[in-house]
Amino acid sequence: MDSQTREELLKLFQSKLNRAMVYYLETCTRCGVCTTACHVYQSMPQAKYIAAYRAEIVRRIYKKYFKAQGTLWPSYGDAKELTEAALQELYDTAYSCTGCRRCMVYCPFGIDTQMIMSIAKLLLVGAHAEPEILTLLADTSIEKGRSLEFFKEGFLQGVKNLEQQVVAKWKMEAEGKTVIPVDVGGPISFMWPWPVPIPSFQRRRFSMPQKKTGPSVSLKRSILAPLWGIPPAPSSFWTALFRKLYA
Amino acid sequence: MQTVYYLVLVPMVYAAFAVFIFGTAWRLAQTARRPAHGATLQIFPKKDPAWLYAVADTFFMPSILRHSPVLWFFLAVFHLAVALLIIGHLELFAQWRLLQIVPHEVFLGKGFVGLAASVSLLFLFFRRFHAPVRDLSVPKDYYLLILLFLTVIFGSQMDWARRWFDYDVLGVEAYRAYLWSLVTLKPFVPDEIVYSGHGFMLVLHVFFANVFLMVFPFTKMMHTFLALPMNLLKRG
Repeated sequence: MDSQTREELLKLFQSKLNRAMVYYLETCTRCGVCTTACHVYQSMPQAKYIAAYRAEIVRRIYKKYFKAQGTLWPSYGDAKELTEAALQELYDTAYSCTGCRRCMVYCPFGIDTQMIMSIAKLLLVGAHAEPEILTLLADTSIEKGRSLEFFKEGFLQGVKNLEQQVVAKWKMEAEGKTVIPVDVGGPISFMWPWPVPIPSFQRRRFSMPQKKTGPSVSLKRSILAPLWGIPPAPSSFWTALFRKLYA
Repeated sequence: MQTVYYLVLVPMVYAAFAVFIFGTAWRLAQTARRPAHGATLQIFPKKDPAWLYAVADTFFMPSILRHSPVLWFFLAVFHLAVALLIIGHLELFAQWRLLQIVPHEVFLGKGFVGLAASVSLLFLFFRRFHAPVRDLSVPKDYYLLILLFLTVIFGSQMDWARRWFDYDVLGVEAYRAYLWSLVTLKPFVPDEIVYSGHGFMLVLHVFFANVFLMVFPFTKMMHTFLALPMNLLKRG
């Protein structure tokens, strides 16, 4: 890799270094709790699929070019030069990560490995070493997004055509209603009486009646709830009343 | 030899604290000056109040407790022991009424706090020899643990000698005189420290502690200050 390409790639790297990214690059203590978080690692237990190791591949380049230790004592933190071989390593790690952010939940600091992978991907795109089909698809989407107005009318017409079929199938329900509203914000269900947003099933799970097992549970579920990692108490009659009165 | 003692016990301590305070402030300011991330980094499900969960994540490490209970135990012991040792050192500066609510001899825990810290440090060190943590570790992880262990073991053994083996030549009074002279900028090293057979233990302890304070702002030790802001980012 010639020095000019490297300079350009490092400029791309620099552009990603916002506050959160620097937190993530600086703070990892390599405790290894994220080891079992990665489902790629679960099926192929190799060190290179551990979240901290993926991040470390990017971090080594960061140490080399953005920290004094990279010049003074590279072996201290395994700082690594940005070369073709390093790009290959970045490629392997970046495109075997699905970006699910499961490791972020495991990490005691909440390090977002997926975000660090975005540096790896940016470097690869900058070096024209990424899987080409991905860039092509992304470019197409961006191009389409630019001329959204141009596609809008055709899309609305398509929705209108769909309406005929819905009316044919649900005559009774559709009578005297806007069958498919296109000017309402928020998620709208076709199968639900319009235009009510889809109810959250997640919320319903948490408000299921809890079995009463004495005061210790209510204490556990109060202000101390974060300690045990359980959801806080479902709102009682009194809190509901309070909300109704003062909300 | 006395010159070396003096250099470690006086100028190096001032230098270490200067590097520690200004280095940490500089590093934190430099990071805070960077632009914030555009989108939220909050994980699902959202918990309310977010700050309380962030504080709990920081101080109780529930994710480690769930996924690696043994590590959590030693981490908890180690961090708690460090907190108690910091309190112990504060008590060396003067008589603090506030810290003597439960009356005790200086250095809480009859020497067992230092022992707990040493043992948990050994655990943290030796687990780095095993996969998968071995594959993740880089040299500086080992250096830092060795440095911490040396600091703790030389410090603790002074306490052990006094508490367990009735050594009474070098004691709290000498430490207090020495530390207070440093605080009031009239540095003075008591004779007990220079001439007692135990003095070099103190010198080694202070030396390693100085080195530790000097490297603090430039290593992963910054997690002391960054853990809370990072968990706040995670909780949204």
